Amino acid sequence: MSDENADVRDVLDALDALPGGQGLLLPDQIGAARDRIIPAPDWVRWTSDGLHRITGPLLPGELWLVAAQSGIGKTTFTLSAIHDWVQAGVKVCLVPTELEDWEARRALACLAAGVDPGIAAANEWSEHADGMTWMRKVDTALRLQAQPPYSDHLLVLPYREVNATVIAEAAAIAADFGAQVFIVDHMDHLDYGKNVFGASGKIARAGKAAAEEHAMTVVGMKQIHNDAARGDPLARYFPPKLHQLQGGALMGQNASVVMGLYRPLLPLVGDEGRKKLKAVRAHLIEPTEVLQWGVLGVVTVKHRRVGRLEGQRALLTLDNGKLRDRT
Amino acid sequence: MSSSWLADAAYVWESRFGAGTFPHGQAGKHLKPLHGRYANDQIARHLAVYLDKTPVPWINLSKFASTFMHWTPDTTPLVDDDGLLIADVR
Repeated sequence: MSDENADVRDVLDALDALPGGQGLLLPDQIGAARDRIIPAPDWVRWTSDGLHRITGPLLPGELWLVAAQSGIGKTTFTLSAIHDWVQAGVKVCLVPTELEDWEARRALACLAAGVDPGIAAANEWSEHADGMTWMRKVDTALRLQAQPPYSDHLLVLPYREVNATVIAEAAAIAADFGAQVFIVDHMDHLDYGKNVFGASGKIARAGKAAAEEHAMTVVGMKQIHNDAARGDPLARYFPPKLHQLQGGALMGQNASVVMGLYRPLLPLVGDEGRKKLKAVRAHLIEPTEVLQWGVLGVVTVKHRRVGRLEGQRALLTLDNGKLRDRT
Repeated sequence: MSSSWLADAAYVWESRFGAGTFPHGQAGKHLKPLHGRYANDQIARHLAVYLDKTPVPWINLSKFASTFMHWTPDTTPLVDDDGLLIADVR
């Protein structure tokens, strides 16, 4: 808690002391407002300075969404954030609908061991000179997940589809575990049969309700409509817009913060650059020819608390599955 | 066989007109005044602009050498520091 909040605290403490205040709703309202202006130990921050700069802290009671086209890096982003939070002592609960629960744990063990998760996923140990050493490191990291402090800080729940009931049930388990952050990767693996109409909205409301009931931050990974990328092969790599979220308006309304992931372009210049862009758009060369390799862009698409952060961007580089601020 | 200082120019030429088409003798003669004054890769970049903007029948290495600075590559940035297309490029 910084000294700059001392004046605010003094004013609010004085309000607590108002005669008759305890019998009115007023102190509750003010108390709730205080909880959101004075930094508290349970506020979670990104370990990346770049991400913290563009979003600020994750507050209890908030629903955050991280949106991107498939294949841009949602799961990489999720696992890297979880790895960093657990190392920093933040309690996290993950529902990895995209992965089996053991796949998520294996990937996290790779991050802890400094090994590319892709090598473990493809079982390519024998194709690398140090492969067997890496395998032993990952095995050690996996064993450590079963012991404190790791086991006290990460819970992985094996749900493969989500609906409002699953969100409520999983969030209650996460709350019992003491999770500060509850992550669903991703929120579009819907369990609503053919009745998908409005399902995204129900899930968004359930996520927001769970965040408020259990005073934790719910982070949901979100798909972008495929229509958003139709026609232009580069469009899927660009930053998503709010209306492109699956479940659009209701998702956006319930979320306190929406972040978008994108793949930044190489520093193209002049006629040569225009020629390359034209070639990609004519399907003559692959989009990867004009994209920065191993770099992920993050943009704040919506920020209910701090509007000036909307549009702010940060670049992260990929290092063996871990995302780090680009220096 | 071209001199090594012409290798970049030969690559630029042959990437447009095909392997073995680079006129080594002419190039050696007409581009010689540029050699030493400009880096080999700079000569090649200017040559690329000249070749792209000049109709094939009018290509003349002597003319290119005498108007060398006219063929400065366009270095207008198309992408900002965050890796996004600058608005007027979209």
